[in-house]
Amino acid sequence: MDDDVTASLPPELVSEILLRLRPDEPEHLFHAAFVCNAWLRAICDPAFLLRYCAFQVCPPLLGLLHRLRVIEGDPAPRLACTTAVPLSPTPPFASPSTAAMAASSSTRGTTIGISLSGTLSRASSIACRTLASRG
Amino acid sequence: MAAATDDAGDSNEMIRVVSSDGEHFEMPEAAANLSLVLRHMIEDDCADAAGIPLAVVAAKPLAKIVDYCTKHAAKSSGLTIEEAEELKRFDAEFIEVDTDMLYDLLVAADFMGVEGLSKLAVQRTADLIKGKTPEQNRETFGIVNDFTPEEEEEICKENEWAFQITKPPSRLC
Repeated sequence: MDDDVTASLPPELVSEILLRLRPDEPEHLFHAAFVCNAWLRAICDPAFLLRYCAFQVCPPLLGLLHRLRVIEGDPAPRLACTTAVPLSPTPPFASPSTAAMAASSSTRGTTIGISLSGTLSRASSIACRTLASRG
Repeated sequence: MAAATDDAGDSNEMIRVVSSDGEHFEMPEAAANLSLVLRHMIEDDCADAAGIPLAVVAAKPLAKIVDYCTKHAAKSSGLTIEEAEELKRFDAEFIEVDTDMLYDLLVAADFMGVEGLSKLAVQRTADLIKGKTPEQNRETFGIVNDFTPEEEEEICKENEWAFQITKPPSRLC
């Protein structure tokens, strides 16, 4: 096999492929972003995210981030995934309004709805930083 | 030579194409018309007996593309439900290829402007990506991990919560 088979594809073909990763299991797209720099760049491109949302109709909700607030030091936030274990009472969480409902009903800490676009813009900022530091 | 003469469609004229490694293929004009590039060449009267040269498409993927176009051209209009199902089955079997051939088909279909095949190959590649860890995807597609260890560590650390979904971070990076 040739080295670097898929990475040597034209960027527009890479985007076309990644565009077809279904949002019902959004971590597939997230994991694909960490295969190589070319894929990370393709997925973090704002134009790609816009196309993805249009192509797949709605941006999926990855899960709810549960962050406990304690007096001494904050423990790592915990992700309650919406794709593997649906959270009652109205699974799956598909709209921001449902996420907002879940967030407001949380009493122990802060619960934040994480959408795919939010996640990847976070990854994008890491990529930008690492690329910039590489020079 | 491709076995592409049984389903000739409406047009009797055969179009010759030449692969980058000099192999000649023939297909009905209706089949060639499924390729944007070939259709333009035919419209511009560039399809002569010597054949249309395709400089970046090797013989192996070209043989597959000729088969695909011939099959689809013969069944292009007035499909019954059974015929549509059969065409779907043909597509599913057609795209069961190794990653080298899949890569060749992706590039060739894109170059030749065969929209249906391009979509089929792109979807097949996406299906192969699904459900794999980054490392498994690198293995499947022969991709070199070009993140530095520092970048990997930073990505895993910053996104630790996301990797909790299926596997611990150590197995993903």
